[in-house]
Amino acid sequence: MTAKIYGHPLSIPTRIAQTVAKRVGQEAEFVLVDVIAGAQFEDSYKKLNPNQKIPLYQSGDFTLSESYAIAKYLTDRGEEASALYPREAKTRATIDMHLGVFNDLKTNALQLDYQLVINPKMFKVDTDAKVVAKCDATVKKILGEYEAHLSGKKYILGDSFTILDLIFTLQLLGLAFVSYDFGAEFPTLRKYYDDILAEQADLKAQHDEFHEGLKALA
Amino acid sequence: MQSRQLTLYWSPLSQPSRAVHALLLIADIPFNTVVIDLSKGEQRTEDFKKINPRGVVPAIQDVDFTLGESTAILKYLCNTQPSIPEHYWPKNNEKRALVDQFLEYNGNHFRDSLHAPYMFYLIQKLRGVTFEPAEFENAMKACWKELDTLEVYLGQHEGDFIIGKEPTIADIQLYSDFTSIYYNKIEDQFAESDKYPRIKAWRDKMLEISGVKKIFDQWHDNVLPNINGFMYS
Repeated sequence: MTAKIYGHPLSIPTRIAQTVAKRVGQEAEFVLVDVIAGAQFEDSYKKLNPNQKIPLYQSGDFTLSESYAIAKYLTDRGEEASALYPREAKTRATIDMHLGVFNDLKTNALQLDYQLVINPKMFKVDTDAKVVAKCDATVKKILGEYEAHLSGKKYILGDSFTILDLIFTLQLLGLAFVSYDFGAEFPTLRKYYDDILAEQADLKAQHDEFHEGLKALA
Repeated sequence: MQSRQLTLYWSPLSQPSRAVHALLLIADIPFNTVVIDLSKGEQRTEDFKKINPRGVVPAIQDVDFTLGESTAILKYLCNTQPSIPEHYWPKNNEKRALVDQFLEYNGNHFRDSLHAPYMFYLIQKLRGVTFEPAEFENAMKACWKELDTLEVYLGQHEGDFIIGKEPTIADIQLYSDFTSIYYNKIEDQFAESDKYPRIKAWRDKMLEISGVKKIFDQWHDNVLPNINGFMYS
């Protein structure tokens, strides 16, 4: 029985799960959950994920939510595992530490997606300026930290491409949803992003697909 | 017995700090503690930034290795301390992934919902930022809704804990953030509600773990009255 990933093409967390799945040879069938129309709130989806969020990974009786958990799970099962997410305790701990920070970036960027685009466009709900200010500040603070961290480095851990670069690149891609050009304020991140896309074909494909999808939304 | 210099930099105010401290007690290893006084801005000193450049607690130093982010620390301790029972961070891929899912759920969703209500009072006291009653009420509604979600999650697997019959590091994180019901002053309302039998059974099982109980009791008796006195005055 084929594994499934439930999600939406405009959801970066969905793309994170899909990109990792493909990269480690664990591709899953995509099942659309139309979150723009509120499909995640239907009882049928709530049964699968009580938290009513996407993406969701399903293989037989096993279901798993939270994109970073799905990414790590698939990586630990796949063949390319050790390079992307090394098992040595201190390296893995350092990766986990960065992922903890990226979670803050992810959740605050998602809030901005809802406040600045989805709520006004789809639900005719006003933007909450206080929420936007708080989320914007957090996003920029984290981008600033990695602007400094990546100075003189090719990848987040220095010499090798890991799951951190895959996830961080896709989080940067996601900022296009609110039309935020991160390169203007963070030139090191711009170079990092462009270099990764030139080198990693699957991430370049993600960039192109996501931007195509954004055009359709406009 | 390994001889290690392990130091925990923490604040008893911080839910993730308390989670790490509880696991260290469960590990039953020697460790040092350094309290970082957040009210005095000690997290921003140059000395502490050598330990965690992000200037946040908790952080650990293990010989010459430093690490921040509570979930990374909990996993690292499980991976390197043989005295921590395996069920806290299972080796089986699927069980481990489910624990990870709940660690992510706690960090991305549960924690924010549980602390949003009292944060209005805390920010008002610390920075003089006022808020509308409706904002607080919405945050409180979201907090109760999150408890509803936890109640459902606790029913997904057989056993009193989040993925089954034994506690995990996800239970430790979730429990630490669950105690924000005290910061929100809804512990009596929660106790009186008949909607949360699983959470109550889970809470009772968590308090049977001596490391968890010790950290909870210390916080509940010594820290909570001062913080609530400060926030709600």
